[in-house]
Amino acid sequence: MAVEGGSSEYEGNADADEMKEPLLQKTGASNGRDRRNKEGERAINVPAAPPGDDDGASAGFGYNYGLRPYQDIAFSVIFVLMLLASIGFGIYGVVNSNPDYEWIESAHYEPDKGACSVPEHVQEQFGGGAWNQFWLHKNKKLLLNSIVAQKVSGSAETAVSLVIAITVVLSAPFALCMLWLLRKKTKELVYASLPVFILLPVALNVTWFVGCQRDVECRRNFDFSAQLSLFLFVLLVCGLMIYVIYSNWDRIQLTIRVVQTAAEALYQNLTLLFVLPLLSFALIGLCTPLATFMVYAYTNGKLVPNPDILNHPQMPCGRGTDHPCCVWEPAGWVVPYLYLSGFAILWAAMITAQVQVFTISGTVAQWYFGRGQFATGVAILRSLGYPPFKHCKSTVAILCNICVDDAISL
Amino acid sequence: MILICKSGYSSLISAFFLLFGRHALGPSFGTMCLAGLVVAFVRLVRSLMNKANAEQGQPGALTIFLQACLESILQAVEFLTKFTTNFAAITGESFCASAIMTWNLLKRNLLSTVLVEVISDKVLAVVMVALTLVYGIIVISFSLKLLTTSFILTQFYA
Repeated sequence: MAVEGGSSEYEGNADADEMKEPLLQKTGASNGRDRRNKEGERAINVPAAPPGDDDGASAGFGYNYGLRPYQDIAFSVIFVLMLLASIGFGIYGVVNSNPDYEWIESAHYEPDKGACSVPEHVQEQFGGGAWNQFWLHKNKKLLLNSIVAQKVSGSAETAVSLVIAITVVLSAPFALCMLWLLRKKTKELVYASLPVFILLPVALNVTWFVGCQRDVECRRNFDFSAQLSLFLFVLLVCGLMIYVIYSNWDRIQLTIRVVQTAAEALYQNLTLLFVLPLLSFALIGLCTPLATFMVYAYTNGKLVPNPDILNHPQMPCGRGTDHPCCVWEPAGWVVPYLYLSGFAILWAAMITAQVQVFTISGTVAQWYFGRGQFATGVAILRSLGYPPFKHCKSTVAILCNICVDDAISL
Repeated sequence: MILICKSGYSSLISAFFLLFGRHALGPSFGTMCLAGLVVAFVRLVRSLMNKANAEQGQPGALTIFLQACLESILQAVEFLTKFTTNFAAITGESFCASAIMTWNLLKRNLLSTVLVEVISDKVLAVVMVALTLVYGIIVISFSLKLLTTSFILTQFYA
């Protein structure tokens, strides 16, 4: 089964760790315990609370394999209703959209009637005035242009597309390589990146200070004492950072183990990398129609004369002036609908993010607790209720996101 | 794909789909909705704040102070919500119950949690930037070479 596949490597890791860095305080004798649990065990840097005084987070805390009751149903109902409402109003908006909207540029103002209208000949110019045909016309031209451009530039284009294809193909091994680094060389990576946090701000600080000293303009405008105090303040902050890192050295050790566990968890559950983008695509599939509906909803309404013109009848309007004669006035329900739909999209995006976190956590939790289920009882109970597990998940969440981003963006 | 097969995790994959289908979009969907709503409100408040900032121009000292307070509260809420979702994923509890458990857990070891979160985040960012830089340089040098070659070839055939 899966669990054994990972465990041998894991024990190897634990072995290596054990010899190199007994930096954290250990809670009691660890010799008799299962190795696989040792990592979790040693990661505890808070003394174990006596069992039973607690809020359910320690004893008996674990992955809930059982049947789960439906929770917070009201909110899912509200969300579904909101989605349905925005889709329903959107369809209504598409059906009732006013074709005048696309001719707003050529609308004609009739002062004696106090109204705006679209001249007939403009509408006929593009064959019945259908918006779609207009766009089709434009798109055809664009497509033609791009094809022509491709034929003309020839081999250079091919080379560029080849490079892009190779880059995309190679990004997967690149992400895996990063994962491998995180799994095997965690300590080196963390130790190498810690100085960067200090050296980068210091280098930037020195750079601007020296640059300002050389520049006459800067020296004149920026008082020297203020310069010096800012310089020293940034240095002080960097010093504080060094102190924080030094005083929390055991937590950095904890971070190393957490990152290692997270990378291991991700490696054992590589499906996550494929399924999480699928969720994002589902979100896009949901939001695209909603956004389209929003665009169409705005076309519900009518052309009205510019209120500024009505207030000042002598003001010139139309071409060559800043004031259009006619403006678009959306129907009364449109603006609330736009707010509703916008919030629905925002909410759906946030829910997708939460579902991603949930999926990562659930998968990693199954893996983590499944891994420990062969260990002795007491050790399990003590190691499970404590932070290593929590860190592990949140780190995996970040790690996964970064890896996925990496794979996508490169 | 090969890697997945090699690690032989078909059982875990099926368990994962089970979890995904039966929990995240099943019983816990309400919890997800509530968590999403909380985060959406946080984002909304933040964007309103930024918008007001952009319109106002030069804000006063008190405004900046209040904004900093609000921002830290928003970040704390986001942080708590993320951990609450994690708790809900493990235990299947409701949002409020998970939030209370998270609160109790963070009360005991807030500093470790925050530090590990921050450090791991930053470490990953640094590692990613470094690797991406290396990768980018390789790609650029490679593509420059390719482009030059193709240019020479074009000249030759022309």
